[in-house]
Amino acid sequence: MIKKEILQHALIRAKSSGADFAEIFSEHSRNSTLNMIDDKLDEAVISTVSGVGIRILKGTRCIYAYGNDVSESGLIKLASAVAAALGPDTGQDDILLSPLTHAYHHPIVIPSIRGEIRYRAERLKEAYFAAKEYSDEIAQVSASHHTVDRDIFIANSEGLLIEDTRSYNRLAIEAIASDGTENQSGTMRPGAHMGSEFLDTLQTKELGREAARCAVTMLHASLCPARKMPVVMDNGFGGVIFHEACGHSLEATSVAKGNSVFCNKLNEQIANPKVTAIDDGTIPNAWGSLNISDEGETTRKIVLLDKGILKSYMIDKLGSRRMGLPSTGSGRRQSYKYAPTSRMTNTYIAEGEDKNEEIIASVENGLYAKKMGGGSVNPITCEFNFAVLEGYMIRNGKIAEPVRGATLIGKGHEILFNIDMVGKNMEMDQGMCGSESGSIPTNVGQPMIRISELVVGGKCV
Amino acid sequence: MDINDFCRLLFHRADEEGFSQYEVYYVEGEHFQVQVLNGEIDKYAVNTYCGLSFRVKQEKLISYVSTTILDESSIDQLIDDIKNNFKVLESADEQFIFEGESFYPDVNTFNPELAKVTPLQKIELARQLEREALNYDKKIVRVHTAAVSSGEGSVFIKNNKGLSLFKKENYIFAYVIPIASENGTMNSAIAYICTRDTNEIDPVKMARTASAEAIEQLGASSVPTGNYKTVIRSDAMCDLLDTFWSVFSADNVQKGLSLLGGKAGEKIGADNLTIIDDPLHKSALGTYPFDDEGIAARSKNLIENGILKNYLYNLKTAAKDGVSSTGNGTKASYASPVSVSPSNLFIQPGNLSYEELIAKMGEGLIITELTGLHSGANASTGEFSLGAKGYYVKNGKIAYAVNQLTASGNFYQLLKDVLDMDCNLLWGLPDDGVCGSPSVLFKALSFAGGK
Repeated sequence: MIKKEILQHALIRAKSSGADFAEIFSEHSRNSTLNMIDDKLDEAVISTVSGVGIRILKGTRCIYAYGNDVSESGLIKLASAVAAALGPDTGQDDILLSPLTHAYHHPIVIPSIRGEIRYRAERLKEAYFAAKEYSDEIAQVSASHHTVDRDIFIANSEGLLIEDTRSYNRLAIEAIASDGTENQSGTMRPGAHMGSEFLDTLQTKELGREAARCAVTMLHASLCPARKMPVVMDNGFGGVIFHEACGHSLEATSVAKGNSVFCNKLNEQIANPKVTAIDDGTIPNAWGSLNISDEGETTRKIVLLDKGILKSYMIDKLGSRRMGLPSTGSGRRQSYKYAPTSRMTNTYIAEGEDKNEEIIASVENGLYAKKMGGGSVNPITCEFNFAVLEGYMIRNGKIAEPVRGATLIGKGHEILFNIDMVGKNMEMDQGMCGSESGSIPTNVGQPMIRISELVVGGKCV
Repeated sequence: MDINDFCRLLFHRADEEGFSQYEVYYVEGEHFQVQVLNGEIDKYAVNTYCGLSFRVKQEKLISYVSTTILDESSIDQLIDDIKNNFKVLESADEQFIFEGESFYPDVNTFNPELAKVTPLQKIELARQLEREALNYDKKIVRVHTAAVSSGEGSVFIKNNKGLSLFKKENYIFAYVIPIASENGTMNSAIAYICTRDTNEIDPVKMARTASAEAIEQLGASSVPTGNYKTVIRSDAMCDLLDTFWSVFSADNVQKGLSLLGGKAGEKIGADNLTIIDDPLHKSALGTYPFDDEGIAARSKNLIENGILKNYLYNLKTAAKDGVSSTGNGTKASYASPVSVSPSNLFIQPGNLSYEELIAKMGEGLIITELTGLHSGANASTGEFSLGAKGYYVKNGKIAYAVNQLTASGNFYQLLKDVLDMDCNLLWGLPDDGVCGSPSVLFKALSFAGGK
C-alpha cells in the first residue's frame, strides 16, 4: 500500500484541472499456470504484475491513465497526464483519505501462489489421466491449472481508501475424442474465488471422466437438425442464455447511453412471469464474487427481474451519473489497465415451480441442451448466439439420440417471454466475460428451463 | 532501472545459480485512445507499459517467469519462481534458446510520420467519423462509438548464447459504429481501419459505408432453413481465418488438435486456393524481421493451389519433425511461453471484382458478419455454428438484407468448397498475427433461419 499522503497528493493533482472526481486503482498480482498435454506437464509460467490506474471524471467524461510505475513519481506523472488531458490548471482542493475496512466474505485459506506447486501438479494429473484413460477413443487431453492472487487498493477524492485481496483458482480439462477422421471435444472448467484449498474440494477424477464422456458421446452423435424448435436447457452453464440474452443489456454500460432494448423499462414486464433473475456478488467464494467492487463499493445481491418484471439495472459510478440512478456497486475491471464499468458477478435465474421430469415430458419434438458453451450478444439489437456443446433430441417427451454442432440464436427481449417453464436445482458454472472493462470471472446459472421456441442452427441434411 | 543494467544483474545471478541457458524478452511502449460522443470527448486514456519475461532452459525443459518491476529486488523472486516451476516440469519435446542468425531482413514497422500525429488530430478524426456517420441519413439516430487509438512499442530479446535483437513498431486504429433506427427496431454496423499509413484513412468513406450498411439491415428478414451457395465477405472471412488458422499450426498438428496431420503434399483445398503466411509484407500489421525466438522472418505458402505445402513451425515443433523453423515462434503476450502463430496469413485474391463474384454466384447468400466465433467454432474439430447476417442475392444482384440466421459448416470442408474469390485483399484486426482475405464464394453452407 502506497503512503496515504502520497495518494492524497496524487488525487489532488489529478483533480487540479476541474475534474469533479478522481480515483486511484493499484494492483499487485501473482499468477501461476501449469499446462499439461501429451501426458506431460510441459509448461509452467509464474508472473508478477504491478500497476496503477488513475481515473478522473468531469460530468460524464472519463479520462484514464495507467502504467507500471507505482512509485511516487510514477503516480504524480499519471495524475498530471489525466489533469492535462482535461484542460489547464484550475486550482487544487484538499483531499483527506479515511482508510475503510470491510468484511471478508470470501475467505482465502492459502493464497494460491503459496500453495505447494507439486500438490497442484498432482491434482492436475489426476484429472488429466482420468480423462485420458476413459476410453481408447480419447486421442488427446489438454489440462491446465491457473491461479491468481491479487492485492488491490482504491483511493478516491470522496475520501475513500480501501484495500482487498482476491484469490482465484481454476482447473480446466479438455478431452478430444477422435475416430481418425473427426474430432469432438468435451470440457470441464471449475473455478472459485478461493485459494489453494479449492483443489481439496474437487473430485478431480470425476471431472476428467466427465470431460471425456462428453467428447465420446459427441463423437457418436448425429448432426443436429436446423430449424425452430422448443429447447430444454439444463442447469448450470445453461445460465449463459440469461447472461447473453438479458444480462449484458441490463448493464449501465449499454443502458446509460441508450444502447439497450431495455432502456426506460423499469417496473415493466420484460420476461415471462416465471423468470426471476438475480445478480449476487456476495455468494461466499463463488467465482464471480467480490467483497468490494473495483470502485470500492460494497458488493450486493441485486434482484434484476422479479416474476419477469424489471426491478433493477446494474450500475457503476459513471453509469449512475448518466442515468440519475444510484450505483448498485457493479463497477468492475479486469485490471489496472481498464477504467471500470458496470458488469455482472454471479448471475442466475432463480428456482421455479416446475418439475424437471415434466419439463422434458412437455416437449414433443425439440432439443435438450445438456451442456452449453459460450455466446455473445449485441446489446443494441439484443441479437444473441450461443453454442450447444452436448445436445440430445427430445421425441415425444423423452430424451433420445445425442446431436452435435448446434448454435442457438434469437433476440433477447423475445426469448425472455418464451421461457415458459422453470424447474428446480439451480446450479452455477464458471465463465470469463468480456466487455469494455476487459475479461472478468463471472458465474452463470439457472435451474432446468424450457424455451418454447428458438432457432436451432444445425446442419441441414 | 534501465533494462541493460537489469539484464546485467539478472544474468550475473543466473550464472551464479548455474543456469547454462537463459533469455530475457522485454517489451515497453505506450498507447493512446479517445472516444467521442456528440462531438465531445467521452473517454480518453493514455498509458505506458513494460514487461520482462525471463526463461531458463535445463535439460530439455524451459521455465518461464515474468515481472513488471525492473528493480534489483525482483531478482530473488524471479530466480525462486524459475526453480519452483522446475519442480514440476516434465521431460517433453526439446525447446530451444537460439544463438541468432547472421542475417535478418530489413522491414519497416515504425512510421515516424505516424509518431508525429498529435492527440488533437486524433480527437478531430474521431469527431469527423461521428459527424459523417450522423450526417449520412436521418435514420442514423446516434453513433455507438467513434474511436481512435494509437500505440508504439518495442521488443528486446537477449540471451547468454549471443542473441541480442531489437525491433519497434507503431500503428493507428480508428473505428465507427453508427446505429440506425426505424419503426422501433435498431441496427448497428462497423467500419474500421488499422494501419501504419495515415494516408490510408478515409473517414468519410468509412462513416458512409458503416451507416449505409446499418440502414440496409433495418428491414432484414430471415430465410428458409437450407443449404445455400455463399459468398463470405472479406471482413467476415478475416474473422473466420482468425478463428481457424491454428489448423496450420505444427504444434496443433503434432498434438492431434488439427486434422491436417499426415497430409503434407495432399490436396486439401480447391485448385484456386492459395494461402500464404508472409511476415515481410510491406503494409500489413503482422510484419516482423524476426520471430520471438530470434529466427529470421520469411514468407511461406501453407496451401498452394489446393495442396498442403507447409505448417507453421517454431523451433520445438520443427526439431520434432526434422525440419527448419518457419519463423512462426511467437508469444501471445510478453509473459507467455513461446508457441506458434501466423504473421500475416492471407488467402491470395483472385481476378474478379466483388460485383462479378456476386454475379457468378447468381443466387445465394452474402455473409457480412459472423458472431459467436469464440464459442461456436472449434479449430480442433473444424466445426462451426455461428450467428450470421448479410444479404440475399437473386439473379446476380443483392435483393434484400437478411439476419437472425445461423451458418454452420466445417472449415476443412470449406477449404475444398472454394469456387472463386474477388481481387480485393482486406486485412483484419491484429490478434495472434493478422489474417487477410478477399471475399470468397463457396459451394454451400448450411443455414437455419426463422422462416
